[in-house]
This record gives sequence, structure tokens and C-alpha cells, in this order.
Amino acid sequence: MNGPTHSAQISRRTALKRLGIGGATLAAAPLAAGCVVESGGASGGGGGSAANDVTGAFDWKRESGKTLRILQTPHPYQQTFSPLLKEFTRLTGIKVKPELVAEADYFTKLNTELAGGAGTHDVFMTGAYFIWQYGPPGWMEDLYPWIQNSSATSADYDFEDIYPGLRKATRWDFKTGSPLGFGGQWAIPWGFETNVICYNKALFDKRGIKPADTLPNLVQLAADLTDRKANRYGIAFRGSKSWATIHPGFMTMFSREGCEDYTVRGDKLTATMNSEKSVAFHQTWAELAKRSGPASWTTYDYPNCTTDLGNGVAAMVFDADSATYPKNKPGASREAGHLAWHPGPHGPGGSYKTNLWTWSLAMNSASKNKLAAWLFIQWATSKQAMTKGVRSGAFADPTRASVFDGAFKQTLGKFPGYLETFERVIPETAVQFTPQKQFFDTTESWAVALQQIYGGGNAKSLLNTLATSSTKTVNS
Amino acid sequence: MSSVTEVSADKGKGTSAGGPGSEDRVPAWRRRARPYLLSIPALVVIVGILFPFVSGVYYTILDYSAGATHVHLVWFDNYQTVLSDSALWSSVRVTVEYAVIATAIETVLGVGVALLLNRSTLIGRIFEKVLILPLMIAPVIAATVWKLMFDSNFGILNHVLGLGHSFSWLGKNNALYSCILVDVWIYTPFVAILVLAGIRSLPKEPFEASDVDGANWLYMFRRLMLPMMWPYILVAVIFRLMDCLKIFDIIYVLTTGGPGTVTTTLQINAFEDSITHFNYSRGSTYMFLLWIIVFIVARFLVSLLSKAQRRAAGAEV
Amino acid sequence: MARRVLTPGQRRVSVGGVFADILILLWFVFALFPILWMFLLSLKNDTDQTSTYFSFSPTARNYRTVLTHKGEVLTSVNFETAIWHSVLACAGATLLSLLVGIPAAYAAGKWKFRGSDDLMFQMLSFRFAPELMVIVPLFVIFHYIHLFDTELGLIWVLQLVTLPLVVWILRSYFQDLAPELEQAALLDGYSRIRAFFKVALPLVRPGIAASALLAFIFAWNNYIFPLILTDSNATTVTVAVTKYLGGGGQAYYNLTAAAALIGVLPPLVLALSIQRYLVRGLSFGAVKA
Repeated sequence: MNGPTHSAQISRRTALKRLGIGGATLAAAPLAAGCVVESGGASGGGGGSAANDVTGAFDWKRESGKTLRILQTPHPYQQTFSPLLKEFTRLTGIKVKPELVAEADYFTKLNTELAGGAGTHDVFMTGAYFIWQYGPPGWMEDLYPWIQNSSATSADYDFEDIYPGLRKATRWDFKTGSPLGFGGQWAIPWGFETNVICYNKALFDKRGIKPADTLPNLVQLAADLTDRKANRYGIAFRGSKSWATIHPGFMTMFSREGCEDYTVRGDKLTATMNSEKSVAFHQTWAELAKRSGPASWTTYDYPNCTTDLGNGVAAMVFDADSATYPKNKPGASREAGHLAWHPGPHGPGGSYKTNLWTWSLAMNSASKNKLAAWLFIQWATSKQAMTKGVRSGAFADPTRASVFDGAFKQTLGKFPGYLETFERVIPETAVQFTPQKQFFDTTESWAVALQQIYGGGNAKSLLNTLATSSTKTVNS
Repeated sequence: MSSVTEVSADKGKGTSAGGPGSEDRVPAWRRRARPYLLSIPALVVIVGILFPFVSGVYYTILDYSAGATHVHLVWFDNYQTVLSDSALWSSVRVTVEYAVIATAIETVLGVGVALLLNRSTLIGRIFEKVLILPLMIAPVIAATVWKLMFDSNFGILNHVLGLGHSFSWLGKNNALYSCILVDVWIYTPFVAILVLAGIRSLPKEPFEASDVDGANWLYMFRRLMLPMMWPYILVAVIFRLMDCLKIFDIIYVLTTGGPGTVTTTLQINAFEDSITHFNYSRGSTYMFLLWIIVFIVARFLVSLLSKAQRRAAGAEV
Repeated sequence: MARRVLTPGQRRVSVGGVFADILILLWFVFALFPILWMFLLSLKNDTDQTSTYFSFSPTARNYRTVLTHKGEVLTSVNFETAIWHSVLACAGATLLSLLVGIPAAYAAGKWKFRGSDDLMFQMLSFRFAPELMVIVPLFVIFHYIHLFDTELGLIWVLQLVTLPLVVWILRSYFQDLAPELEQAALLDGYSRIRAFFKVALPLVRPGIAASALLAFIFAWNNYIFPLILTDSNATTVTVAVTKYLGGGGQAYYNLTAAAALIGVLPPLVLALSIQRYLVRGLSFGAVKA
């Protein structure tokens, strides 16, 4: 569907000639601008996909001797799989060269790489929201034709075993206003996280208290647990100036309280962060951070939150279950063995809507080793490899129901409430954002507004400004 | 007089090139071509870097951005958007504030440290060896270490300075100054080294003469030393101010431009637009405007520099 | 012993002198404290790194992990290869800058020629082109001419960092050079080139040392170019160090600190070994007057 429509497009060469700049520029600019853009429209609905060139019986060894380059960020998923890569090479004869980039710079590197259209890395780790930005210019390979092709995909792969909410989260047709779950399959969910509360159970038990079930109770509980002199505070959640501040605990509670980011009418979105309910929620959240959160809240990313939890400084964390999970492993932190999980407050109507994040594996549409890349993605998300990962490392949560119910549950003995929490929220776990191509732009502005409310700004007027500019941006 | 004149450090004005001796045999055209020929290798090396710069400018008249399947020529739309955006003016203000304060502090401290080290006391000689250390830790790493020290829970600064656990170095009111503090920590040695090297290359005689005359230190410093040191100080200021105007890494690590937009400089804005939001054309426009600002400031400073150099040459006579 | 010549700031023992010593001590407490703190951090184990100040049981494990890349974390970071890459790229970039920069600085310092100011300014202006503006086009070009992830590519792109520094610092040294010295050499029958090598070049040695050292350090510290333009075949120390900051809920600040301190050693060795040339500035001043 996103093949080029030439009428609307000025050829870059013509544009350059019109500019009339010198020969040196003529040589450079098309190089730079040209190949960036022309990687577009690589794959659409299945017709023309490189997957169709693969015929004959399925064979893991088909690409033996090739070398794959994969781009990853240091993460429990990556660390768990790092020692398993040898097994992939043994199975397929394909060598794997992993490239690690620190999380803070990961998307800088990935964006540049994909925009450059060079196909240096065949496979990369990505999140669901990134599809909304990387997909439309044609930087990602549609994996649906690959899954469908029995010559390229092993008969026991069982794609449907992956939780439906996750499969849906990684599909979109790139039409503004259109929901997730239609269009190409742009990535395969590898590991995922639900955003819930993790608390210091030892502390709670000592005080004889229980986690809160409503937002007002949470506010009260967090305040009660805060003692600045003793360097202890009630609840940690992200607060840095980044889109990532909005998506975990904030978006989860925002949705449970019945708020919405946008309303959709046809192909037009209208931002609704300035609704009365939403304004009240923003105020509550900012107040919660100020009264019972970390003093440097505006720089807090999730490692800060989980570090404080692990050191016994924060009594609760509202963030990804998979981020708090490693802190309870013996020896991993001071409070290891003391932590427990809880779904967090439900909304006024009993809603347990939960926002999800999934680290997924995607294929660079400019890759020159597409079959080998697909074999790798297929292997890493297969039942066998995921089961091994769950048994050997810190792989929370696996995206396959069979692996979760099988190997993963057996590891949860020392993780009180983890399973109950998971089962409580999973039916309502989905991407709670309205998909749109300017996600990072508008969501970061959202985080800026939240920080300004925290800093004492007027919530109503800040959110009005945010809504106006967001509506304008997403419909442009 | 030919268009190529030799600069004399003593007189501060040009004398005709080509002295006596073997130079007589060199034809005039070769003498004229000489400086250009000598500059060619340097030009060749950097001309390649001009390529991407020009195509970067080219992006500013396109609408290349996230979610775009096609790219159009939009001429000056990006400039219009950016110039009418209040975010631009707020980030210009933050950038200028950061650059001016940081450069001023670093210059004063750098000159101070250089003067103190120049005393060559035992303490000075020991410390001179480690003066350069902060400069050797990459800003990304240095900022990370400082961020740990700034932390309100386990940060060493609050602990050592007795600020408790609720003082926030990177909060709304302190963030910009904390970023400047880190900049000062890293780059003051840079200024100090340039100035110290400058002080040590000053001639001795004027100072000996005034020492004999019994002139006081302050007088000597103001009348003799400062004018002669001025070119070295200005070179340091030029490099610092330009780097500060495009400050990115320190702030990105410490606050990513927050809280709110308190530390959002032009380059942070440009980074977010072109990389995080992938509105590449708008981000490039931001950066091109930044380049123009730095260009103008640098031109001004360089003209100051050449004046100061002429004055310094005069002061030595 | 002859009375030492004092430039302003050099004083004999006095109240002011003691005061100055205290000031300099204060500066170095400020300057060295974060480095001491880094060192302490590098000796802490994972659970101590964010929960202790000064009392903890020190371990050398972090240094071992970084140097042998053994241990369970981040096994794919190959640190000593990154050091080697950095040394090659930064030494290469500095040498290239000296090679092409010294003639240009000499020309600009010695002669006032048509366009000399513009030329110098152009050199300088490359330093303030925001890296992010050129990085995507540069990435594409590097792929086309196969410079991506190579030492050569890195050396070339680092000229943006090193060359302006070398040219600008050296120009002021050449400007200060008394032309009579070279004139004298010419009178003695030296050729221009020999006069340059025998007279001018030795006199600006402190300038060459200072600018080379600074260029090397700035190249060493550059982050965005190696981050985007290299992978593991040419990745540098600075990029490798940040990999220990990790993600996924665990940041290894202790490993980061250990790696950063190891990464400081090559430029530190260079700085200490050429420091005596920096001090030679004194004699240079004497020659000129």
C-alpha cells in the first residue's frame, strides 16, 4: 500500500537542479537525501516480498555460511540470549555478530542507521511504538509473508501461541485513525512487560499494611511511607524528560482512571489530555511524585526507580514487571527476596487496563540477508529457544503463552504475587496509546507538560496548550 | 607592496616578503603562491566534510520526517515553522545563558589557575601534572559520574555537603547551574593550559625592567601581562564559547533538557527533532540556524582576536 | 646562584603566597574529587555501588571483568580491542592534522595574504558545524565509499575535531616567531625549507606539543562520530565505556567507572611524556625577545 505515488513527489534530482548548486553538491546531496528516501515502499501487503522467493522444503541449514549482524541494547533479554547464540550457529550454520549500544543511545544509532538505508544490521531490537515511526518510510520488513511461507518457516513455529495482544501491538496499517492489529506484521514480540506495582513486602509486613486498591488510597499510602530524614520515600516511577515517562505507570493509571489520549473521528484525531478527568489525574500524579516520590524525580528513568527499590529507599515502584523482577533474584540487590507484586489501583469502574511494552525483533528492509535474518528472528522467538532463555536467565516476561505457562511459571516460586498480578491484568493489557506517526514528538511534549505541572505550573492551561499542539501535529 | 606580506611579531605590521640571500633567486609569483600552496593539504582534508554539510543544509528545504512516505521540496516552510515556534526562542535564551555563564566562569578560573600554577611552588608543580585530568574523561562519562554524585538519595554531594535527601541538584531551579558546574569542571583546565602555555612564552625583559622599577604586581599584570596574554585568552574563549553554544552531551546525560524546558538548548532541541522525533528537516533547520548564530559570534570574536594580537605585539616593544 | 627571573604571579614566600597556595589547593580538591569518587566507585560491587559512600569492602573484580570481559555481564564488549582502535584512530587523526595543519598555520601566521583571514575562519568554522547536522549524510556517504566501521573513516572524520585546534593554536605561535631568526638562516645560505625545519619548527615545539595533546584528547573523547560511524571493527573506548551503563534495570556504574579509568591511561601517558615540552615554553619566550 505504500508504493510510491510519483505525482506528489518531486524527484530529488530535479529539486537539486532547480537549486542550481554546484557540482560537488550534486554529487553529495542525492547520495544523502536520495538513498534515504528511496528505501521506501520496500514491502507492503505481501506481493513483491522477498519471502516469496523462498520455495521448497523448510531447512534450517539453507543459509549456512552466511553472517548476520544484529543491533541490540544491553538488556536482560539480550543478556539471556547472548550465550545461546552458539546454538543458533550450530543449528543453522549462520554466524551472528551482535552489536551492543547503550540504551540511552540505542535509538539514536538505530534511527540514523535505518534513515541511512544502508542495511548494515539485518535484525534489530525494537519496541511497538517505534513501528509507527520506522514503518511508514519503509524501513522495516513486513514479516507476515515470511510467517505464511511454509518454505521459510518451520512447521512447529506456532505464531498463534504468542499472546494476541502482543501480536496485535506489532501490526498496523499506518493510516491515521486506524486501530492496531491490521496491516503488516512489522516485528515479532520477543519479551514483554506489563506495568504494575512492585513493593517491599518485608516492609509492608512489618507495618502490617497492604498495597492500595484505589488511586486515593495509593496517594495516602505513599505519603505514609515517606520519611525523608530516614531517606525513604513511598513510590518511584519515571519522571525524566522523555516519552518513556508517559508510557509505563502513568499511562496505565491514566487509562484505568478512564482518560484517553485522543478521540478518533474518521481519519482525524483530537487530543483529549485536557479533559476534566485528565487534568485532575495529572494533578494527582504530579502531587504524588512531589510528596512521595524521589527528590530528583525529573531525571528518573526506570533504572533509578528499580535501584531505589532494591536499596530499600523506595517502598514501591510503578513500572514494568520485567524491570523490577531481576531485583528479587538472590544477590541482585539489598532487598532481594523481600519484593512482591500487585496489579496497582483499579480504576473507578474496576478497570485494570494496563499499558504494555514489548521488546520485539524486526528486520531491516534494506538487509541483504533476509532469509537468514528471518531464520534468526524465528529461532529467537521459537518455543525451544525462549524456554531455554527462561530457564537460564532473567527473561521476564516470555511472549508465548506455552512458555509462560510452562517453564516461566516454575521460576516464579520466590516471586510473591507476580503470577496473580500477571493473570489479573493480562486480559486488559494492550497498547493504550492511539497509534499515530508523531508519537515521539507529541508524547515527549506530554512529558514536558507533566514536568511543568510538577514544577508548579497550571495544569489546565498547560494541558490545553499541549492538546492544541498535539492535535495539530498528529493531523499534519 | 605585494599582496603577500610577512607578519612581523615585533612591529605588528607587514614587511615585504622575501629577504636577502637565497630568497632573491625565487621568482615573485612563487613567493605569492607559497602561502596558498601550504594551505592546500589542510583544505583537501576538510573539503570532504563540506559534502555532508551542504546536504544537511539541503534537508532544511525538504519535509523529510517520520511517517513520511515521500519527500517534497517545501522551500522555507521549515524556517517559518521554526522561527515562529516559541520553543526556538526559549532554547536560544537557554543556550546563550549557558554559553555566556560557562565561558565567563571558565575563563576567569582558567586564567586564575594558570597564574597560580605559574608561581611554580612545590604545590603548583605537583598539581600541574594532574591539571589536565578532568579534560581526559570524556564528557559523556564525566556527566554520568556527576549525575551519580548529584543524586538525591545516594549522591555523594548531598552527603558530604550535608544537604539531606531532598535537595535536588537537577531540579527546576538548579538544573542549568548544575550543568554549567559540570562544564566548568571539565573545561577550566582547557583554558588554564592554553593560558599557562601562553604565559610561559612571554618575554622576560619587560617584567624584569618593571620589577627593578618596583612596580606592584597588579600594575604589572594589568599593563604588561594581560595585554600580552590577551590573544591566548581569546583563543581559549573562542573555542569555549563555540563549544558551549552547541552544547549537547553534558546536558543530554544530566537532564535531557528538562525539567520542562529549563535546560533545553538549541542543540538538544535539534537532536530531539531530527533523531528522537525523526523530523529530520525541522531538526536540520534548527541546527543550521544554530550554525549561523555560532558563525556570527565567532566572526566577531576572531576580529577581536586579531585586534588584540596587534595590540599585544605593540605592548612587547 | 643568579636571582631567578620572576614573571607576575611568581612571588617569594609571603602572606599572599600562602593565600595563593590555599586557592590552588581548593581548586584541585574540586577538580580531583570526582575522579577520586570514580575510583572508589570502580572498587564497589553491584549492590554497594548505589548504597554506600566510603565504607564498603573493595573488590578488583570490575577491573578484571572489563579487561578479560569474563563474568556474566555484557560479554560482547571487547574493551582492549576498543583501546587499540582508539589509540590508532586518535594518533592517526592527530598526526594527519599536524601534517596538513602545520604548513597552513605557518602560512597564516607568517604572511598576510589575500583571503588568509577567510581561510583561517573557514578552518575554524568546521569546528562549530553541529555534528548532528552532518551525521546522517555522513553515514550514507561512509557506506558508499566503504569507510563505515573503519579506522581510516574515523581518522578522516575526526579532522573536524583536531584540525581547527592544531591550526589555530599553532598560528598564534608562528605569529609570535621573530622573522629575523629565519632571515638570518636564509642569509647563512639555508633554503626556505631548511630554514623552516632548522629554525621555525624547533621554536614552536611547545605549541606543537600543546596542540597535539589537546587534539588527541578531544579526539579520544569524541562520542557521536564513533557511535554512529563505527561498529565493533573500529569502535572506540568512549563508546565502549558507555556500554556498561547498560539497560534493562541494571546499570553497571562500577564497571563504567573502572572502564573509564582504564580508558584514561593512554592519553594520560601521552600527556605526562610530552609535558616537558609544554614547560619548554619558557626558553621559547627567551629566544623571542
